[in-house]
Amino acid sequence: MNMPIRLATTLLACAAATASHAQSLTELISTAEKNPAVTWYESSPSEQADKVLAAFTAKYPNIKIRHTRLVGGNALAVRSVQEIQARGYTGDVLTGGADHMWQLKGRGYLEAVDWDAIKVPKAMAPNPYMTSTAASVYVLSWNTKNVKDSEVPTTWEQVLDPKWTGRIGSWVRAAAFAQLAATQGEEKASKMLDRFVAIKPMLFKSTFPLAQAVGAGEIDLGIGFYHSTLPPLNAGAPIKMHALDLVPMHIIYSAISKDARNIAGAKVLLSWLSSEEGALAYENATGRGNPMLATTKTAQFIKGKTLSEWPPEKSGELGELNERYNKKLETVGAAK
Amino acid sequence: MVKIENLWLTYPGAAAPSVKDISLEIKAGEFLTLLGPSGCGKTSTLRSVAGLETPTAGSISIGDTVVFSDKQACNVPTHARDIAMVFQSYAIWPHMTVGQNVSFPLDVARTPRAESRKRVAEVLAMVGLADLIDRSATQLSGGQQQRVAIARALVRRTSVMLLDEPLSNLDAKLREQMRLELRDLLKRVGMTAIYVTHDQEEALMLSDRIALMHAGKLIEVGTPRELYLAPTTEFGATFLGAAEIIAVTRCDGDMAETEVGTLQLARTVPNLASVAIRPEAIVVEPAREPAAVGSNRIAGHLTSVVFSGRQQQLVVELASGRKMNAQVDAMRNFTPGEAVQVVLPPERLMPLYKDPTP
Amino acid sequence: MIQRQRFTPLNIGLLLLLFYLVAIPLALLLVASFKPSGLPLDPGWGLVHFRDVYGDPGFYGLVGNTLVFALGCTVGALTVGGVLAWLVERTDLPYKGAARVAIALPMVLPPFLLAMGWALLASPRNGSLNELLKNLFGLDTGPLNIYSLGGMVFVETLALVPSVYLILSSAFRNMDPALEEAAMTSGARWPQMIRRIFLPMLAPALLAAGAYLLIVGFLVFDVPGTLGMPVGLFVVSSRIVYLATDQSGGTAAYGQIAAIGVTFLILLLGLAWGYRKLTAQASRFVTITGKGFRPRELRLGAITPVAIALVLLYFLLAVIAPLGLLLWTSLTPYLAPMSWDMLPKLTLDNHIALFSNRRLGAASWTSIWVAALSATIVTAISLLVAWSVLRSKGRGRMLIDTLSFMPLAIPGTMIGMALIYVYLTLSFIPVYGTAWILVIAYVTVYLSFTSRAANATLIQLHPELEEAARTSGGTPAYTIRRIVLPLMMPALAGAWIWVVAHVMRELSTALLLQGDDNTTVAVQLFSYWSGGQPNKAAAVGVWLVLAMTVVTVAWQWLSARRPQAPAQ
Repeated sequence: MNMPIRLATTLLACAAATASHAQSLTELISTAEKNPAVTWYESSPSEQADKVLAAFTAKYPNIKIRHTRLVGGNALAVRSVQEIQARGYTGDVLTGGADHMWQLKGRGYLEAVDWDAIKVPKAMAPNPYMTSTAASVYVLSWNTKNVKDSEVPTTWEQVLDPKWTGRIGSWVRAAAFAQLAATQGEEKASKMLDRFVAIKPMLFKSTFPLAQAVGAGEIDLGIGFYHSTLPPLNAGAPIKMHALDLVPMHIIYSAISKDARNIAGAKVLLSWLSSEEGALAYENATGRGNPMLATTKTAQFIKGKTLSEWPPEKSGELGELNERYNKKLETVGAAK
Repeated sequence: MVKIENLWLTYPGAAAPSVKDISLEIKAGEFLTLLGPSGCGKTSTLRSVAGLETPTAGSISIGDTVVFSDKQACNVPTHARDIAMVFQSYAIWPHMTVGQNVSFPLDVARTPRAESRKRVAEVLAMVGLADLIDRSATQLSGGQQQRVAIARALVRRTSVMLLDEPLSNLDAKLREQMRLELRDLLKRVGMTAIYVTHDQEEALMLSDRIALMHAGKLIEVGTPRELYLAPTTEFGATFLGAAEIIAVTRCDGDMAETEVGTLQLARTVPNLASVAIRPEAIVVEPAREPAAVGSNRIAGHLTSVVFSGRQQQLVVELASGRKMNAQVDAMRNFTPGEAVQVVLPPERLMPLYKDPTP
Repeated sequence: MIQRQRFTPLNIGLLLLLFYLVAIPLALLLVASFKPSGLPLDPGWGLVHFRDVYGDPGFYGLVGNTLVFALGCTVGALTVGGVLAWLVERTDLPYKGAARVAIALPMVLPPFLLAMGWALLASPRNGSLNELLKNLFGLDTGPLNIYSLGGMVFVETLALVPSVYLILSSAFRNMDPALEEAAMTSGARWPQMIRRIFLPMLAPALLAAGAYLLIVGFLVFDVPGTLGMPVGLFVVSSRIVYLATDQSGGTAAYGQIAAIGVTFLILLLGLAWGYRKLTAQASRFVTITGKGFRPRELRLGAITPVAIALVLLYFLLAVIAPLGLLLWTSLTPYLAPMSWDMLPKLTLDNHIALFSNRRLGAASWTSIWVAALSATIVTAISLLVAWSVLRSKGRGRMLIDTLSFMPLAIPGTMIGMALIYVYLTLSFIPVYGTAWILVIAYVTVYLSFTSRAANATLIQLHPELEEAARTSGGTPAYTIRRIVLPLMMPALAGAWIWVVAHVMRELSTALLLQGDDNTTVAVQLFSYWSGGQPNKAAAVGVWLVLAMTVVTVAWQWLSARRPQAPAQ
């Protein structure tokens, strides 16, 4: 591009940037309607995302929106990096884990947003770059045919009882324990993990087949997620779940990418997702709710329990902790 | 029609050349056989003419066209050469019928269907397979496949036909029958033929000229009669037919000093290394009968007498201890151990020079 | 002196194509292994990944496990596949057409569905088969434990047999019985025949299949992931998948994946070199001559029932059992082992949901045309590669051969990653995010197998068949069209079907390259399975197998009608 055009573009960009801070929601909506479709990179299956999009479009019929499913936060982060490096922009709204968003922020790929201007509660957004959208909440699930109601553990201590040896299942990642360390301290969490390994849990690639295995009776107990236990439960499998005394979790954050094609539309989406209406629509479709919003089922499920999670700025330390704990968990095989 | 000049061929990675400085000129309509033991380079030479091998040096022309020349950096690809080839394995395509196999060369040249059919029928009639035109190739006997291969090579009416031991996979009777048919066919059509074989009887029966090869080199070239009755090298004498080689120690005019005595030759020959005589040319007389006319008579006795139908094979041990194989008429009566007189007619003694160095 | 080896247009064309398809992902892989962040376009260089991977003693334990697993599957698949191929192609086994279809069918089952099916059958706690055996024999605990190294080898062998069968069956079909007859009339008995005639003549095909299997065994994930991971049995691929998806730090650890990939590259180069050395004397392996043989069939006589039983047993274990479980799972509302009390809960809801899913319809169409197109393109390239390597005398043949085999060593995730980079950068080729990028990915990935298959077949074709065409005036292109292609068609058709089946079920690359509208059936299936709807996933699997059955039956019917098939 030659100089005059470059200059003009830069000036326009600056103007747009300053202007967006001052824009109200209504102005954002009308800008968003004129721009190309909002692209949303997120990990839910397309059928579920369709429902969320339908709810959004019902409210904002003239904003075009598209969802691209990227499975796994790592894949999403890498895709965004690749796209920005190669062509300068990626999806408008990116939804993933704390560490993924933190990684992208570190590279300067996220846009700073004035949350107040778009009515996102301060509690939901720990920093100007990301706001919470949902959470993966750890729960205990059990097979109602093999475990009597009276036996069901209600605390972590009871879960780690040797009588559950060979009867419990877990995600192959020891992320729950890493998050427990945020409130219990590393030493205690590490000891808990050791005791967990000693009761020989069955490891699963993801928490969805874990929940299905509990429902099928392959294992009696499972440490999984709320939203991944819902499918067999709703389908009528003999499975139930509750939160334990300590509830580790992973908050799912959403962010807006730098130089997004439709920043206005992205802001409208984030505003909507943070509102009760949007959050409930998201939860109904995907099973994952925003624990910060009291009216979601997720929030009600964990009411009164101690939540345990590292904040996004500690992503680096959390990463190292995960590496160590994952290695420990892998030694389950050696014990056989 | 085909001119081969100073051809050399060394296969990549080989220690020694397979073809060493071969030069041959084959006239139009001539049937030339490349004859020699396995590994002598005859097939390599033939394949070089076909363009299936690329020589290391030398030149080859077919008709007026130079098809290979290393000096002119010219190497015409196989499909553009005016040749047809019959392979030892017949190379009949199993997924086609007889008719399709034979029409293939015409299909390549985009010959119109009607003309192609006519010529295919013509050529199949020539080889006696006219009614098999729609038979699948996998249902043919060996002899039939051979004929299809020949028909396919004829249909394009090229100037030159190359044949790589085409009869060696047939049984003896069939081979004899096909030999003469093949020669007749080629003569009728007027094609120049280069024929490769290791079977010397075949070479003698079929060829206008024979090129004898050994270890990559050309040893002798001549008509069958010339090579059989008057070879000039020891290799030539022993490869083509059987021969008794008698080493010559000294030459004096037309007399030669040999291991079996002094022999009278038909004429004066300088640089003589040895003389050879065909077993059937050796005259064997019982010792008690009066001697027939002839010089070069040597005494000996029979060590073996074998009757083989058309003739009798005798092994005579001469006074000097030298044993000789002789062939005589089937009607003669001989017994092993019998004392005999051997006559080596001078006109049948073939003078041999030193073999060319390999 | 004329220069003997020049670059022919074919070789140049192939080299350019292969550099583009293969060398670029390879280069990105190598570069990524030296970049601290693992992404090729990031700054900096370093050996940190090699240190992390190869300096970790745990890695070698993984390699040991994987070696046992890979060798086990290789030997297992070669044996079972070899016996089946021999039975179908060289004996008078009845119902050959059906047998061919039965053996090829398992190809279409995504391996994780196969593993899931077997987990439901033979899991020690409540596997259906175990329950059956417990009741039959009055045992306390189920005798089978599929969550073991043996279980992994068993299921993976079942999954690999079709690939082996394809390569070996065409090798068997083209063997000249004169070779066996010569051995038999020299007084050789069966063990000697196998050792001194069969094995040496089949060596190229065996080696091609074996090399492919070994590498696959090292890098395959689904079966070890489903059957090994639950009990802490990890293999190299588990590490690779972990690095891609579960590694913390926010991005996939491509650097380490690449560092691991480098080892396989070297291993693969070694195998390719060995294959080339063995087959350098190509004339030893020629079996299709122009002598028009009729492959003699061994009469099984009294052991015919045993042979039929063997084929049926394989079919039972590889198709019926897992398919049965899949069918069952597609009819239950949630994952549950077979039991009487589940019977009243069976429902057709899952299947009905499939047919009303508009996305699945679109995904099916995408899968079909991507599969057909990729299969056709890659088979054509393989033919040209095999012909160039074995027949042309031009330069660069060794490079062409090696390049065509290499994609096997590049994990699917890396190929996906590489292609994203290439087509994001070359944005004027509008392929990114579309199904076309999938076609390119699959052509690259499956070239390894099809080029081995094509090579092993062409080696059996007597060169004189082509020379006869050339001396009849046929140009090389005409010769390929009318002689080489028809004679290689059965093997090429087999390779085509193989690619179609594998594309239909391929997951990791399709997931990575997902864009707006290039979802495939496999991705949809996985989406169900990983989204808590294994029953719908099973339903998709059932229909996938059904569709593939139709295609395979059609293929079998077409090839039986071919005139040159020696059907006597």
